[in-house]
Amino acid sequence: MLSVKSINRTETFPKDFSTTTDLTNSADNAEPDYQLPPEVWEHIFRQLAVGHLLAVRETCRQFKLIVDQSPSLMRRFLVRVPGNASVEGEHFRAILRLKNLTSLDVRRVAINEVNLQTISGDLPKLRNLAVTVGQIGTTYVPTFLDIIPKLENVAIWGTDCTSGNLNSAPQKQKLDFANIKNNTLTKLQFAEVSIARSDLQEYFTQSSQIREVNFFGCQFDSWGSVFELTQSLKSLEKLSISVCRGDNGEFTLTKKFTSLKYLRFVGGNISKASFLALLNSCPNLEQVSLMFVREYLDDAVVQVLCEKLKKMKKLSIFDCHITDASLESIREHCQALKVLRMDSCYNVSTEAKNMLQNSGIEVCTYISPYDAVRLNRL
Amino acid sequence: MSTIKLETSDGVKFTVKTQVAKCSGTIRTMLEDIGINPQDGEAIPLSNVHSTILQKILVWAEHHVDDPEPPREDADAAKRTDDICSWDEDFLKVDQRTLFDVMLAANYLDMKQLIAVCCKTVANMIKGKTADQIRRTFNIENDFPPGEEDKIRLRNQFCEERSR
Repeated sequence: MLSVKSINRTETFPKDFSTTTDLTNSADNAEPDYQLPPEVWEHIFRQLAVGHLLAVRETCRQFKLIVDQSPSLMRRFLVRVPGNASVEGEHFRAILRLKNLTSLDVRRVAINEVNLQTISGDLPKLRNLAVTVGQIGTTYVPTFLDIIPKLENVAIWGTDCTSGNLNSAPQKQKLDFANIKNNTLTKLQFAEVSIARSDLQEYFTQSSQIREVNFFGCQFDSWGSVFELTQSLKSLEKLSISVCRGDNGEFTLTKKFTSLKYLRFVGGNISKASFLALLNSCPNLEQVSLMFVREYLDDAVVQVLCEKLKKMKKLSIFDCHITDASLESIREHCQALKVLRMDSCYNVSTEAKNMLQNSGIEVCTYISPYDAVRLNRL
Repeated sequence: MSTIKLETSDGVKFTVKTQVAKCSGTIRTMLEDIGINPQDGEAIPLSNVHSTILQKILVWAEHHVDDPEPPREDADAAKRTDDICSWDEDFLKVDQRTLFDVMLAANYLDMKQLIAVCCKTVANMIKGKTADQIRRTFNIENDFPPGEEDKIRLRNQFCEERSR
């Protein structure tokens, strides 16, 4: 090894560098040039929350360009346009200049077909879009699905936004998907609209890429027909049905939801028989979440649920009249169960909860935000 | 212990433990893939790094040489910036120019962990500031034409972090 004095610094270089260096003597002593390359700034900006990025955008042209042109940063933005914003207004135009925007929520703004075409032309990278469509008494054809090329996740809200008010008039926006060709969607939400099997059957049959469907406050022609309709989605993994209403006429489900892993059911006017038919046709569920289902979730239904759903890992029950007998069924049949969340189930004794807890199932009756994060990881 | 020699842009030569030098992805690639043989006594030229900065970076590399590989993070999510260890915090208590030079060199040398901790440090200098305060912090000129600022402004209540 060479032993030139100036080279061999390995053992001797000072621990505190700043005491030995005078930066003003560095090679280029011209104007201080602080510039970092754009990719390093982007890396820095990736550490920031959206709120901080907004200030960064307004600093100078270069920073604005870095933020607006970074798909990675833009993917984090969800732009929610408030109800008092005008589509013609300056702020809306500012949004339309975000060429890389992927998530836009314009549910609260009156958007017509022409506006939607403007949006799709200006924001070609949109993947997540929530819109309010149509007028009561008309049938809406969601042609925008075929105009915006990269849509993955779409929420279609009807104009009657009574948000789950079960007493509201059952007249809701009708949809017509008959000529929709889009085959990029993986997640679809319907809210406050009327769902009839005939309007969607053709589209659902050809949409094998859809993995998640969410019905919120919808009017079904009948529960049975909507279940059959939903079963035609071959890759459906998550199904959420909240405060929907429909005819409870008798039906038999011949097919099963074979790919369905997650079911969330909140309220609604479903009958106990229809509810049992649904549970019986989902053999592979891993997560089940049931809220405001006290009319049809009793100990007998829980027993069926436990016997049928052998793969269930997480079960959440909120506001039900179930008793210790249900916990006994869970203990006996749910071998795969890891977490049981129970809120506002007052007929269950502490002893029964403790017994379940001792058998290795995590039982939570009050969920703090900290627990919620932790349980999601389980 | 095996050592290699590095030569900086201003011609200073450093003899460095190979293990420490390999904190740099660039040097690692040179040694392992391109097959530069350090036994030859030839110094690896680092034409983009000044000796004062390399010296500082080597202090960091020496301290962190035994760190385990960090877990892979979601590239799109906003990261924590309050988890800088106190040694690094002290190490980066330097003037802005030095901090930026270290970042440039770390970028050139492909030292991901050092870049990450520098980025967090700079991000913390941005957090909670208005556009005007950011300009003053980094000595940036407002180069928007008058009136343009209003056009680009996105109202805060319009934009939020997308949950996943």
